[in-house]
Amino acid sequence: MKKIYLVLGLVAGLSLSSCSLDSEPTTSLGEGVAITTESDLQYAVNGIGYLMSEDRMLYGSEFGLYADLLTNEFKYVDDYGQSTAIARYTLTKYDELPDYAYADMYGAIANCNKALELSEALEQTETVDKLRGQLYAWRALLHFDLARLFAHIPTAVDDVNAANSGIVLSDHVVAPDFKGDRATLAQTYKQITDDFTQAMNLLEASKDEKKETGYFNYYAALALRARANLYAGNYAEALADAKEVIKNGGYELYTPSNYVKAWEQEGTSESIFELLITANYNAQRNSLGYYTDASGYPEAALDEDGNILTYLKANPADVRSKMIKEQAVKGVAGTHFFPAKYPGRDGLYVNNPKIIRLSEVYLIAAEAELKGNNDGAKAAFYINEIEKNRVTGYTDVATVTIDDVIAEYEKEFFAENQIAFAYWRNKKSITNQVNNVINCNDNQTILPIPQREIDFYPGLVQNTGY
Amino acid sequence: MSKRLALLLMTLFLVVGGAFSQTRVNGTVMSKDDGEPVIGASVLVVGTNVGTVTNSEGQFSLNVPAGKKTLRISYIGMETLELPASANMRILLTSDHNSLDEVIVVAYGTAKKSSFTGSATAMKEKDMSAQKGSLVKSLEGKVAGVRVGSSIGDPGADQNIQIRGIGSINGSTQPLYVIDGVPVLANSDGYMSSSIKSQSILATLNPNDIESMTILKDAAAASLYGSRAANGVVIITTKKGAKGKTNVHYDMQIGTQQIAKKSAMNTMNAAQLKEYYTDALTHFFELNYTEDDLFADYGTRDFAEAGKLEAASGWFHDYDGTTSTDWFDQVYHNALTQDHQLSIDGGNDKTKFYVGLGYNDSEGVVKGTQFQRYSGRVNLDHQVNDWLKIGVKQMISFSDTKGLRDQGDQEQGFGTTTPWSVLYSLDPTAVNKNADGSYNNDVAFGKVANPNNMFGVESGEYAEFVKSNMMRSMSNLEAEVKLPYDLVARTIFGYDYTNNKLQEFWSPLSVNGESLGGLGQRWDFTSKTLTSSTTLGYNHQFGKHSVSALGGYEYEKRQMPYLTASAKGYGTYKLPELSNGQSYQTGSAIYEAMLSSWLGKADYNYDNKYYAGLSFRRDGSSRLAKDNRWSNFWSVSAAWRISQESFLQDNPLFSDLKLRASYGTNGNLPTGMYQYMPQYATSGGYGANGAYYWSTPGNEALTWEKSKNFNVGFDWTLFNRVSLTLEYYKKMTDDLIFSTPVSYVTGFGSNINNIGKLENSGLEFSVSSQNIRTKDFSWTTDFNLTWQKIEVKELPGGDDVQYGDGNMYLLREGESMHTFYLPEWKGVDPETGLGEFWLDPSDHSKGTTNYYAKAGKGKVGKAVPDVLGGMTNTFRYKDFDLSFMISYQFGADMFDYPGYFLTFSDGVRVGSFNVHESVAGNYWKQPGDVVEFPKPIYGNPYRSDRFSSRTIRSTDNIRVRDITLGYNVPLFKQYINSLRVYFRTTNPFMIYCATKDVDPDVDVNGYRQTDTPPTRQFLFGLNLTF
Repeated sequence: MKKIYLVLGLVAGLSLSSCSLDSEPTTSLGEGVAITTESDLQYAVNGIGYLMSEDRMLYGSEFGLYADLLTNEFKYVDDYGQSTAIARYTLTKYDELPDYAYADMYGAIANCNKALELSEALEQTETVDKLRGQLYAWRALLHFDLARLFAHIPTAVDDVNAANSGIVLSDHVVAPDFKGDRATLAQTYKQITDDFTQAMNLLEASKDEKKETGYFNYYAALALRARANLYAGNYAEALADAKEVIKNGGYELYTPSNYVKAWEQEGTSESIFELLITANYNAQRNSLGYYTDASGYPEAALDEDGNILTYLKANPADVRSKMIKEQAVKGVAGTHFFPAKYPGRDGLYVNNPKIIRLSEVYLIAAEAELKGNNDGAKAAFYINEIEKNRVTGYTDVATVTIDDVIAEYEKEFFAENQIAFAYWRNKKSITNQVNNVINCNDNQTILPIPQREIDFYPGLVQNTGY
Repeated sequence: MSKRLALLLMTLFLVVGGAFSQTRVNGTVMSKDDGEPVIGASVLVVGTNVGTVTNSEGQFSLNVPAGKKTLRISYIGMETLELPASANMRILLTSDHNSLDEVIVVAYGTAKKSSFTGSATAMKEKDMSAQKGSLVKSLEGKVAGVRVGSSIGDPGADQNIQIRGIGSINGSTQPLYVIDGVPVLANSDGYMSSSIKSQSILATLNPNDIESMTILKDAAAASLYGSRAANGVVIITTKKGAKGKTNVHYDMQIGTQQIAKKSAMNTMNAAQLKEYYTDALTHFFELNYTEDDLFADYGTRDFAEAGKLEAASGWFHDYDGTTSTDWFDQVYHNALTQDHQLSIDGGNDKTKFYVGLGYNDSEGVVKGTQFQRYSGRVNLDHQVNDWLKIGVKQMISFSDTKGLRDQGDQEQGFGTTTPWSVLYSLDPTAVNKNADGSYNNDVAFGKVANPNNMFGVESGEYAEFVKSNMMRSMSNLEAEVKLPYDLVARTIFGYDYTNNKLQEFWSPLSVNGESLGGLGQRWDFTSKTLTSSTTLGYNHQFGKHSVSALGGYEYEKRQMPYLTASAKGYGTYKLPELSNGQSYQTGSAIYEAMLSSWLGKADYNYDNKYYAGLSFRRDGSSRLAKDNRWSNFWSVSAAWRISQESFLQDNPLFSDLKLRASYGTNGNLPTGMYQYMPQYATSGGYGANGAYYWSTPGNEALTWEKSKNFNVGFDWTLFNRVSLTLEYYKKMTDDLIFSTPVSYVTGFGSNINNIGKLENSGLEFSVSSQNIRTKDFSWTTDFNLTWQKIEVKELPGGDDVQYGDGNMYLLREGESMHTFYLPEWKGVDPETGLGEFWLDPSDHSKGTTNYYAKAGKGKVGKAVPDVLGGMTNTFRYKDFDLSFMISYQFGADMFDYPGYFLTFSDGVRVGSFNVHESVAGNYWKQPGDVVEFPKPIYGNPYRSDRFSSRTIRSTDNIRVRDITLGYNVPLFKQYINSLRVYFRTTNPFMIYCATKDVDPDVDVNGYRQTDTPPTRQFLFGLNLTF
């Protein structure tokens, strides 16, 4: 019988042997222990950039060319069905591109809010302030770009206080069952400029530090606030912000000798804020370089009949004429001109989109002088400064009109998500790639809110026409 | 080894032993009931391992060693006899009254079918070994209440099944698989394979090694598996040796397969497609151009003229020529398959063994795809002494797959290089071969190479491939100890090790690899599961009372390390290994899950008439937060065997009659390991630095999904010939694990939650009948029918929830699960040629719209069938046997995803895809045309192609699944026990199919996949036993 007891003992022993039920993931941290140091917070700030770097309809993918594709300055050479629905204005509330932008930008905003909330438990050092400032700046920029996509530009509409004319605002961590209504345009732009201001407050102490490419500093927040003020019609504020960036920011306009090179490099003299894109983290075949090359999805070429290509071909003295490349596309007759701004640092995919650079700040100042002060002569100063640094043998002009400013956007900022916005902001119409005229406040100038948001919360107001 | 063969060998080697002193005996075994010979009855010399089986005439002959006098004759379903050995014996076996009282394997033990109070269906070996590649396929149409989803037609692809409907929305819907007492890895769960290719973990098992498979359906049967039993349990028992003669089996099968419904993949020919494209471009101009614009660009004011000019301007490779290439045969082919199985089993009083070796080699119907499996199993049982029994089981298998990417995730779209997509991307005006005989590579509308340059060429310039080597080892160690007081202790250790090495290569010039200069990627997935289960059982009879009880503890720990690396920038396309490129991305992780369980059950019966059962299990899981980790599951059941009552005894109409009922709870866990936990992922990167991001909102309150399960059924056997089972079940699942859609403003698209209630109910009927049973001819019929309903009972706040791709599914109280909720198509306006949708499907008086985005949504179908089942008829005439199996399904719809791309595209895919042949001549050309398809428009702004009731199509069908004709070759009888040859065909044809040009076999959620559809096979095989 002793054997029996032995076996019984064995059985009992087995039953009571290790039975732990605690397991932790190996590629993530529990929320409670994720952000406990300054460097954790730095990684959380990096996380916003990471979230913006790989998906579609973001700065490094379709959204980086969005306001270009909306105009007939551009054309698709071959239709791969990737971005051409933007060009044809056929995106609907069921389409994936509006969905991507909405999901990813609000996702990044939620990350800003979460990191801001978790960082409150940290000791508020100068570094923590700086990082929190960058989170506010991201939050402001993302709201601004969501507003550009899903709401009209304030200067293009009659009533910025119309109910639901803005977007849903997200300024704190919300519960999973959150159902939010749209703010007005005025409220939307107020939060955007307020967030940039808050960012500047937090970044002020570090404003003279060495610039870090891929990260907001004081002047990046200021330059973007200038842009937001311009869209909101706050011309005095826009002008003041722009002037301060030009005066104190420490940025320099590109020159004919470094202009071409600037598109192959990271963190150049004009670049105020750009997104870091690397061989590991990029939008792959939906990246800027892939759309603007004959070997990729050749859907973003310059149209022969457009102002831009006509000008660039006719003005070899302008260094910007080097920013086009003539290529043949397999299976399509003839040759075509593609923007050469995204040559790639390691294959076509790897280009940092320049989200704001000094030339734009000059143009903001010019536009604000014209619209705020009706001062064509003062505006001409900014245009002349840019042109001098682009065109060999340029002679200054005495005065400029708003059309000159828009033309400068076309020449300087093609393939940088500016053109359609410049027209509409100034209440001007454009013609799209399928020959339709689009007025500044037409329904089609903005995208539909993704239907799944309305399926979830039927109280959310859809944009008219969708 | 067979005695005869041994003798033969001895003769050959002239080693005739003189020590043998034997008596030759022979005889015939017949059935007392009908006087027919009993084939395959076992005849054993008692006290030895000498034995044989009867041949097709019921005859046997064997040598009885000196000193042995008694023969034991046994046959399943007959009473075993022991008789003194003599010459020319004539043995009559009487049918065992408990013949239908088979022993079935159930949770933590076995049970006599007559005494089992739960709902379970057992499948026997012959039902399973026919399906060489997939274990799961053999369930199709055979078991009431089981629905088998369609797999991708590629060999080795994964396949879903449903037992009694759908128990969950986002939790697992797949049953628990238990092999020889150990729960095993059956699904990839996303942890065992990359999403690039569907791979079945169950395909690592060799169906030939399996003795029986029991499907546990209700709470009484399954609750003992607690937290994982909500979707039913499949208990698999592998083969064992038997005391007596050693048997050697060799099975072989060879054949071919092709796509079962080829018309589903027919494309327009060159002339049809040119016309279609021209029309689409013409309509584009009409919509977007003024006549002046047109004149400026095309020199004409005629839209149709401009359409022609544009179509001729580079959309096609040869618009003006007469080339019309049918590309089907360049992508697909008739695939060869072969299977070889060798097994040996036998044993003596102390030791029994089974050894099986298997080899399966199946080409896929897509060129260059292949599945190969090599497997081996050894099962040993040994009685150490009168109180200790041990068993060792070891299986090892290697499955190698070659192929291409497929849509592992159904919502991904239509991958550029998946075969079906490639087929439709090819231009029919392009030629396949250049003048020099090489393959023309400029053949596609998009960026696709000639399929002959892509598929099955591993080191070609344009090659792309996915290969995997899956290795699996399953080890079981069992010990059973007899203790005093009728106690039996049993412990099982199981170690299930699976490793999947996956490799993908895109050569530098390939469609996908071009922009990276080639890409090589390797993944290494491992799963290691250790299970330890210890139970103490008690069995006691006193008078007419019989009691049994069992209690135990089980612990399972699963670890899944994962490693990946990739390289790009290859110098050569000839060498896919990573060292030949520049290093690119790497990653590794380990996932882990543990389950700890206490379990117990008790059964009681009085006089084999009244039965009662209880079961209980307490589970704790690492997949839930500490405070919500533990939960209890239980069941109660009872049965009344009415036929044992005196008033029915000996009434042949009621050979057996039993009424049974059960009620209990089962559970279901989240599929992810850490879904409850709010997390920051640390695996991102920005610039050269790391990045954290908020990856999981988490839900610490997340808990088990629980189903309350009621079952009532009766089993009735008439005249010992016909057995009927009728069952009703009702399963209410609450706290459903659901990834509830949330607003993107929260930072996420969904959040895991326990919400709502779902009710599955159904009626299952099965009948098994021996219609004719004479000496030369027999006919048996097995039929089953399931009527089922899956209804959403309760949602938070009573609000509808829409989910899925394009929110195509609706959860609404009172509606079926998997209800499709999409705009409703009215048809084509004969005047304008545009498609029309109802503005409000529930109120047609509001009129129609041409714009998809303006159309309201309505219920347009559901993926859950109302009725499904199957019928098998088996005939035997002398040495011939014939069986055919039919399955049927009614009341379900599919979402026709390929149709969205290829059939209903309405011009949207002009320039990238061909169009299904059925559209040619059936789309609008001019006012007055009454047609199915609207006018195609390039860049169609109406988007009438989008998901709507057009893409929801009926799957009603009656399909012949299997026809087998076999012949027992009555030759070489002195050397072999049996030799059977057979021809077999699977999916040969459909008797009825509601939807044309579509294979109605779709996955259980109704998705018609964009991957290779089901196949049809023609096979030849032989079974040899000696």
